[in-house]
Amino acid sequence: MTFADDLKAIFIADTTLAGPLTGGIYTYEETKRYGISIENTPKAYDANGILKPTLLVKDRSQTPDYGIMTDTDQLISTRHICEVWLYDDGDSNGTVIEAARKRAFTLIAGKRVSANKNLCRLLGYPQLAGRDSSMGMALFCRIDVVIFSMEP
Amino acid sequence: MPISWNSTIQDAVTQGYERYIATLNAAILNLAEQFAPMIEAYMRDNAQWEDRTGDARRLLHAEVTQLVSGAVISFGHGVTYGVYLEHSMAGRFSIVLPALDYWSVQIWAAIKDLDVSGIKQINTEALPYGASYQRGPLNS
Repeated sequence: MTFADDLKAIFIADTTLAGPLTGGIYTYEETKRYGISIENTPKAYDANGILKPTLLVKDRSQTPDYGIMTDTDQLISTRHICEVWLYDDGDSNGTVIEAARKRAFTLIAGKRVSANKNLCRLLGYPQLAGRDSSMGMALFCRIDVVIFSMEP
Repeated sequence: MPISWNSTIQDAVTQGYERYIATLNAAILNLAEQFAPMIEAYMRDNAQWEDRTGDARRLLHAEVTQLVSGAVISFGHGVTYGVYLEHSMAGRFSIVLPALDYWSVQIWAAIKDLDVSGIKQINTEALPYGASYQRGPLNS
């Protein structure tokens, strides 16, 4: 399981977060290369093709930070960055995904995630009120989180 | 032989501290100026989109701004539609933040490894993109 899968499992298990997200919660791998789309994630859209509130978790990068590095044991500490994208229809007022963004933050920030209890923290500033031109100017917001892990 | 002071101890400490800070800031600026081209090359090599005119890739840039105390490396797109490359399809074509993810760690490791006491060659094995920065005699 990837960290995106771990975060998705946390989000799905929380009814406060998952309930309003009627379009579903996905990992980027599930959406293939195009992200949320009517072809790959039809349940994220209603019968009229209008995007419903949806969450997508994406693994972005994993970079060694050299905090712990042992060649004999072949262990190295890493910073694993995940993106949590929240989408809604472009004509919505954004209150659902804004509330979901805050809820997602409380579920994972400063918490131990995954089977190895890796620490997860917010990274940088949230991206608020963005527009995705590939999705008909759908509204999105995003938080980035860093998960401190060991490789392997 | 008795020791004589040309100035007060307070002045000596103050002057020494100011000289140290100036040396450190110069070293940080030097480091930033060496990393900026590497970041720029990294973004151009690793951007995932397919070029049409080549402008988006060619205009990716990284530059250094000197501050009163320290330096800033700013990098990003040079085309107006760069924001869409970063955000569309859940960041499928993003390059700025992946570059930040990678180079922030390298730069911080280099900053922590700064030796203000003299010359020390950096081990460049772990650094790609022709990194061969060398810390000069910082107290000269």
